[in-house]
Amino acid sequence: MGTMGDFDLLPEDCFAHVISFTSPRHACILSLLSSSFRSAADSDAIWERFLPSDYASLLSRAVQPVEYASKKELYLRLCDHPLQIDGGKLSFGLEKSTGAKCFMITACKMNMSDFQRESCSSIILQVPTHKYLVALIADRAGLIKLGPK
Amino acid sequence: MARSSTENMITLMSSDGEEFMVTEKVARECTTIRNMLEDDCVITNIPLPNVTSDILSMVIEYCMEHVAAAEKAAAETAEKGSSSAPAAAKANKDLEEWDKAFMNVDVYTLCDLILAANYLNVSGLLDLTIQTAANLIKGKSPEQIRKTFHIQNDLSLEEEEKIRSQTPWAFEKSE
Repeated sequence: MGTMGDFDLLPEDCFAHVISFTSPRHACILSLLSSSFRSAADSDAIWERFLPSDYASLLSRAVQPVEYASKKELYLRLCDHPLQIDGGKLSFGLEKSTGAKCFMITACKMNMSDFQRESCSSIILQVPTHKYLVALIADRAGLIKLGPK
Repeated sequence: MARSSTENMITLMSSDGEEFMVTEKVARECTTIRNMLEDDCVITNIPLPNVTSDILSMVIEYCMEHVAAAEKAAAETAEKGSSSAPAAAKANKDLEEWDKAFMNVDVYTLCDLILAANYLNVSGLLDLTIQTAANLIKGKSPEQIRKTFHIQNDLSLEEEEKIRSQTPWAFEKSE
């Protein structure tokens, strides 16, 4: 049986609290330490904290319903496969190591008001043009920076 | 600071039978105790079978320091109003330094403090101890964490490979 070493004293829920004070990257690293760590580091309680607080409402706007077996699975899915929302006008994903929300919009449908209402201070936009994938960093005031990805 | 002689004193008893007399104000820093006091206002003796005397004395030390800091800040504000802001900023910094020095403990003590802060529901101490434990883990590779905290690995190479392949980005380079 794998141990938690010096952290053996802590019940799983307390240790989950510790992990939720680190980052998604650290939670993944901790899951590799031993079977006890894996079960603590994969728990829904932790990954719920790493998901954006409004993830449920974003999921409800998805073009196709999202099915997932655990919150970690959902997190990783949103990192690797952005979700089409609002009838396909926007897509929404997460930045892997921090869980920051990313919204993507097609250039021809670009409209600042579509993402200004999203509840975050800055948004990374990836705008696919016919030739390049261009990343834009925007805040509520408008575009700040423009450059190739 | 002179304390009013009418201030209620509460006796907290540790799991090993040691008694600690504290003011009600200090005891109320623990939400668990505050709830007990609100349910039964004449209670003066509270047994805490989950907390040893070593750890209880540390929890009390933390609560006393934070109560004293809050009282001092309130007195400054009452006396000087908004011109006390620079002094308040310094007092905050001093308290942060005190917290930092207070967290200079071994991992076993830290775990005991997390358990006690969780049981007694001292939110400031819980955040402080949890953050300290999280900081011990941050920036280390899996091998370094295992070595530092004496963690025995029982995962097979295949299981490890599977975990690594699920999130390869997490293992690329430590932050």
